[in-house]
Amino acid sequence: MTSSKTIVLRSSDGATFEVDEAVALHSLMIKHRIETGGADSTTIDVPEVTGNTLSKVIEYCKKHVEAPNSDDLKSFDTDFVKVDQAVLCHLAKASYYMNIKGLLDLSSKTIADMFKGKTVEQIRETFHIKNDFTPEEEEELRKENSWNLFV
Amino acid sequence: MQLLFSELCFIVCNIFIFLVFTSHHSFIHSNMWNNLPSDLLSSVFFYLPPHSLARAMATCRHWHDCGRSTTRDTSCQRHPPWFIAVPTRGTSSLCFVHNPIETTWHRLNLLNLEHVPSVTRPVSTVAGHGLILFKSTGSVPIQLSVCNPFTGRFRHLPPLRKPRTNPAVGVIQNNGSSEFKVYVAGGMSEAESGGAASYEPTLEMFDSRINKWTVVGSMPVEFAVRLTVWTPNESVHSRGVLYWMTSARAYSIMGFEMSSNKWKELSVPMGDTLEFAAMVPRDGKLAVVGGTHGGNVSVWELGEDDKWNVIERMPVELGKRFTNGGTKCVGIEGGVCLYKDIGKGMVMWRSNWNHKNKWEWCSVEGCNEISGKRLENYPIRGLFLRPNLAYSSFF
Repeated sequence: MTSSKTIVLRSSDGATFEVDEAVALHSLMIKHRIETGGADSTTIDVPEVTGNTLSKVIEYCKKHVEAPNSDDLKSFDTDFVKVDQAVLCHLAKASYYMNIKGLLDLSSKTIADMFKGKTVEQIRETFHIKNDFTPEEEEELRKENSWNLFV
Repeated sequence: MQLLFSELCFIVCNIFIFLVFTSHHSFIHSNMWNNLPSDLLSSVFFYLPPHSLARAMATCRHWHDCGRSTTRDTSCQRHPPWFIAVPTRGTSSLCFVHNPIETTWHRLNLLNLEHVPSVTRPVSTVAGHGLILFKSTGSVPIQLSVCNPFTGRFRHLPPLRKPRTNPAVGVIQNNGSSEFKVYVAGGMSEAESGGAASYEPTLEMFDSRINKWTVVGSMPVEFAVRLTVWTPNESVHSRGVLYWMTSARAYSIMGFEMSSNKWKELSVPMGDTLEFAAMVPRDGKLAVVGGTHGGNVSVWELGEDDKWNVIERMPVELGKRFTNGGTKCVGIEGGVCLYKDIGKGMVMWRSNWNHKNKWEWCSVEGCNEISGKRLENYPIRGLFLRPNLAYSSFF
């Protein structure tokens, strides 16, 4: 009978979540904290992640730890990232800080799909990027990218 | 009157809160993507095909720097290879590149790059690193240079230890690092004062790590002769052997085994009846693509026992365009392309990333116009590359 030890995760805004240790260990960052934290580490702070995002991350870890071979894992992943931009961005950052490779790859791939078929200007709009090139640098870029549909 | 006033206040307050909220909201949004850790951004960039990556890098400085420093493992076949068409004769200097995802042709500034001398020809590629190896033309001893056509970087290699004209040139690339080695075998060495030029029966190697040429060893004169007279178009490195194939019928293959410094010879299947033949790498093995005059194109793979097995035949419908000579072929890990001229359609055989073991034949339209103007047809030399936009210390 495996020990049903639980860990409490605390988000940046003070929300707490009790999860099975096995699920929490899916995050290599938490695994490291537990291994180096000693016997008292039953509450782990995750200051880089808000409660809303942490809740979703835990949902991902639960599914991947408790049913890693299930047939619907692929469709779970596909549906999991059908979220709006803000949530996706927070998920990506959380997976990076918490070192959860599967979720990092999944969210990176999904963000990469947002670039499909977009021009430079459309990419700037989508990601709210400010163009900080000088006109000379832009001319250089135009030359470098003669092989690419650029504008 | 009082009621109206308080209602008005209420409305104004709501508008004010709404404006604050939306500007705060878009403030959050605009910051959201701005403070992505560089490693996370690199992780996203990994999944972008080259043209999307280049456009992302053109949005702002931070993304440009991140893209430049993300060394992609270009041996990874996630993204399909790009076909480059270089004119073979001086009638045109227009090079084109084919975007395999958007299936569009684009003008590529290759022969017109600032530092590229006008009398160079592409001789090979360091395909996994996205580089083209150029050689000088003419009767002077061979001068080799390296170019990344997608970043415009260009550099000469130092002169050979034993200067020669028309040798075979081969490339070995390390997967997972940006290092590569260039091998030169055979060729004609310069005449000693008053004497006749002779075949150079040596093999020398350039190591990009140390930026130096070293003479590796000697070779049978007969091989040096064959590699000089029928100068190969490409080399394939497989199972510790560097292979070259003569460029005309009767096709034969010579291989240099690295570990033992020994040369060996292989016959080419149907070597004296094939109208065209080319060596291509396939999953680390040596393969030959060849066709007869009648348009029957087959692919053979070299087995562990140095015997050839037919592994594929081109669908008859597609083979029809490769009758009557002039067919050429180029290959890279994950793709093979058969072509004739810039304007004529090409046929590709490519691995499907999502189903790695499944290879598919497809037809690609040639390039017939540029900027709305009709393009004259001309013969080309085709190259396959995986575009590499990262900064390289080699240049």
